[in-house]
Amino acid sequence: MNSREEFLKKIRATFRIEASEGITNLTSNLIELEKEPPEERQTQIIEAIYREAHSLKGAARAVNNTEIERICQSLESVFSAMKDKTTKVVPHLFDLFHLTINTLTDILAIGDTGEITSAIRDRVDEVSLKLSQVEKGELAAIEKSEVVLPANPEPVIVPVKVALPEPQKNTVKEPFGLKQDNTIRISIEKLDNLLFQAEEMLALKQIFHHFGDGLHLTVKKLSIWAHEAAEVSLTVSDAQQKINGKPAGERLTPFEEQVKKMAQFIEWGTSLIKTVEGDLGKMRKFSVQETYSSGAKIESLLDEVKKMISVPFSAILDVFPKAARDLSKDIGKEVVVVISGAEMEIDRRILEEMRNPLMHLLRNSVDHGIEKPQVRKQNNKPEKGTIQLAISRLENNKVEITLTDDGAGIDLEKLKRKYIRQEKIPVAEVDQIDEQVLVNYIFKTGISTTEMITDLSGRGLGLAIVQEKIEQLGGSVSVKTLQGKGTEFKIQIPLTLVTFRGVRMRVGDREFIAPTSKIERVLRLKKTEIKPIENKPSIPYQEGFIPLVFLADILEFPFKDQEDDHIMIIVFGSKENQIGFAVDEIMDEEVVLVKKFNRQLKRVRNIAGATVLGSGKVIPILNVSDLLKSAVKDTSYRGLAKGVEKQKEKSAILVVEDSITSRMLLKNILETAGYKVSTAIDGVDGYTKAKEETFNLILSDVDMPRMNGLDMTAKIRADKTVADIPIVLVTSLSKREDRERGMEVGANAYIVKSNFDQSDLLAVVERLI
Amino acid sequence: MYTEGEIIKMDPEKKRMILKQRAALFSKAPEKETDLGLQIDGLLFLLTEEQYIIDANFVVEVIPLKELTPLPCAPAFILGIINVRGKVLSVVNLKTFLGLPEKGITNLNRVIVLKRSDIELGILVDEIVGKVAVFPDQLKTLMSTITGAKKEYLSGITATRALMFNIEKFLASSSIIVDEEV
Repeated sequence: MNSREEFLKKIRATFRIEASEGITNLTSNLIELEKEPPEERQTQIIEAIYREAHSLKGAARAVNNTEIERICQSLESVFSAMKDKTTKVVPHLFDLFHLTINTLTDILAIGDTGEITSAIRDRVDEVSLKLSQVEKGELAAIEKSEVVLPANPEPVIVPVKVALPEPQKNTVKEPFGLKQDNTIRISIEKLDNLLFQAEEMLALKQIFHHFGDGLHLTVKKLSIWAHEAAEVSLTVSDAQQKINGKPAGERLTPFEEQVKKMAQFIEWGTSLIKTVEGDLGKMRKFSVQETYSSGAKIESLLDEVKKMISVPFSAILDVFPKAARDLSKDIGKEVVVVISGAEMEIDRRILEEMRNPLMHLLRNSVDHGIEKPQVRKQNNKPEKGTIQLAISRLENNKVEITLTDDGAGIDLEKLKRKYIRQEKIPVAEVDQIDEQVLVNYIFKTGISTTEMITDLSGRGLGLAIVQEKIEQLGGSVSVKTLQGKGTEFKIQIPLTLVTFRGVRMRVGDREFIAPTSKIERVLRLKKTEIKPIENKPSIPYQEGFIPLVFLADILEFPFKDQEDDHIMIIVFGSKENQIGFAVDEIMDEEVVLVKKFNRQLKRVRNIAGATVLGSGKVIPILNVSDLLKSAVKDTSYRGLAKGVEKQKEKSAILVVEDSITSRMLLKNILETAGYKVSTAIDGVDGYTKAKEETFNLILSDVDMPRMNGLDMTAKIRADKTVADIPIVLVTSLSKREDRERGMEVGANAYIVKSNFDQSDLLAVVERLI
Repeated sequence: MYTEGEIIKMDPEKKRMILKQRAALFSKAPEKETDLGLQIDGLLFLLTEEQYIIDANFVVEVIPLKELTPLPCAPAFILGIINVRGKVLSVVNLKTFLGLPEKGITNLNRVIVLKRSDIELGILVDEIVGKVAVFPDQLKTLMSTITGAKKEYLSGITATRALMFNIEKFLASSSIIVDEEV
């Protein structure tokens, strides 16, 4: 792409941002104007719309977008006329204005690459023509029904004369010089990066903490030493006295000389260690203080950054009145949306996530809540339905969003019929169900009280997704309804992304975290207590039995039973639907921050997201409701005898490899073949581990930092205690000299990576062990 | 390359000669505007032993792979997730994605972080060779025996037998998105 094209692409992108903001402003102003505010406010709004149209026109001209330019030109003229009071604001004009906005939005949505179709061009012609007629006062008398027909340009009045571009009668006051604004624009990406890094500081806080604990342990070790030393010191001073007590002139024997030397050394050593102990104590005190003060600083930094990425609710709510208007017109209803508290600020990431759920609830209200005008009239309600959206701040850092409509309410009879059908309960029992329980049933997947599936919201899945999304954010949603009076949805969500308490567990060498709140109980059971019921393993729990599954099976990765008589079990779920999940180890409970996956991982089964530990390690967070669903579907059946009987002793292999993927691959292959595998990351690490533990074979890479495989081999061969371990070198070097060099230092086999084959490796390993 | 010690000990004549050579190297006239057509910056890397080139415009950074968390229940081409300055990114195994034979162990240890609009992810490669100029018009067509994902995402082969990987198409593709329900 050449630089000019690149430049054009950039400025078009900038224009799109600017234009969509402009359109949003136009929309909200139009909506307000339509509500007929006091005259004074009307003048302000007209002025604002006029300015917005004018600047959008200029911007469109700059990027050669003639369609938008033309529409804005006409719109500007109309509002200029309104300013001058030559044209009046009359209610039925608003359909035309909204049509204008829709046309602008559609053109903008086409983007750089798309073609402006003739249909769009016709609409532009139509809109500009009508606007210019309005400006001249010609259209003021036209019935609104004639204006609304958007897609079909035929019935349009014969163009009398095309409006000429308006004469330059108005000089627009543009702000010159620097605006005295205290705000600047920063791209969201930059802010997000800042936030990510500030969040990383939390990890730093934890590291400080661990560091302090480490120092504490060291000081403790020294105190054990002091205790032992006190006992020896008596012996030492005793010996010293004996030696010093010798009559003057008598020479010390060589042995006495030695003792004297040792005693002196011990004395010196004792005082040195005392000093070190003192220093360490001071350091520890300092580190504790610093941990607290830097912890506080980090918290406040994070708070500030979080405030920076907070945006008002209006950022997403501004489009709601317009959306409701468009939606309701389409299905012949009339709706006003009243929003309050939209200035409340909230973490942008949460707001983004709330956009769809809120829009869904709005559609839901327009579609099922509000009745058609004639029905409303019959029921003595105003023809126009009202949807109220109120945002209010709660204690404990939460906000409450209340969405109320004055519609028909949820049809309980329909809901009952659904309930009977889906839950398969006798008809007679349905009346015993608590009404609130019944109402909450609408959040269950597959329920929608609208019999007819419309384009809007009657797909039933909707409310379940709304609830899932809100709960993912750490919020809750409830619904109340009054027959014939209306429905109210109440949503509570946190203002900032929450940290939660999670239990860390291990299966094989993988770790996972599950929210503590979702855990019913953690159990340690004897394997003999696992009994099959209907051919599925189950465990005694409370008064009865619950099914048991293995977390690794549900998460679809291979693992081996631990050689232990006991088994760790986490119980998830509530009431009738409790299931035990077997894991290898419950590690600890931590406060973790949920990190959302990137866009590629839109939804992963059983995994809700990830968190980053203090060490920088990424740990997946389990999606408990998915796990319960998966467990029900799980058909794999583990033999139970396996765990009880101890497995036979396996050969141990040490894999030394600096590349993490190769390390994992080798480990996997060998483990699948039944070997016990440990790993080391380079020659130094490998040599140390080889000496610490007992291995039947070492498999090592050649090219590694610190100490390469050849040097490590030589070192192991030179060390009597480990010299006999067979060593296999795996390498990308395939030259003959290299191979010779490998044999020279004492490797038993040499495998070249590029023609590596699993079965070859296993054959070689088997032969050598 | 010479060490500092070697340079100090070097005789002035030799030093001058080296400097002259370097000057000659730098002063080489820029290559004539050729009719090779459009030129783009490419990033050349190795996957197993094959060379691949991607459009460098989509490369955010290259980072060494230190730790990788495997992600259960994800498709096989997702190797796992990593932490990049607090952001959690998925890492794709191009070999699996392209259906290349899983022969040979590789030294996969570099992650190329890629970005196109709101899709940001990493791909794991063996080795980064460096930046190269690519002339898309000069690319040769691939052998007709190549099929499947390879055919879809490999847009040609250079004279030096590096495979041009269409990274924009890859990033825009819906087949890389993981969106699965239980």
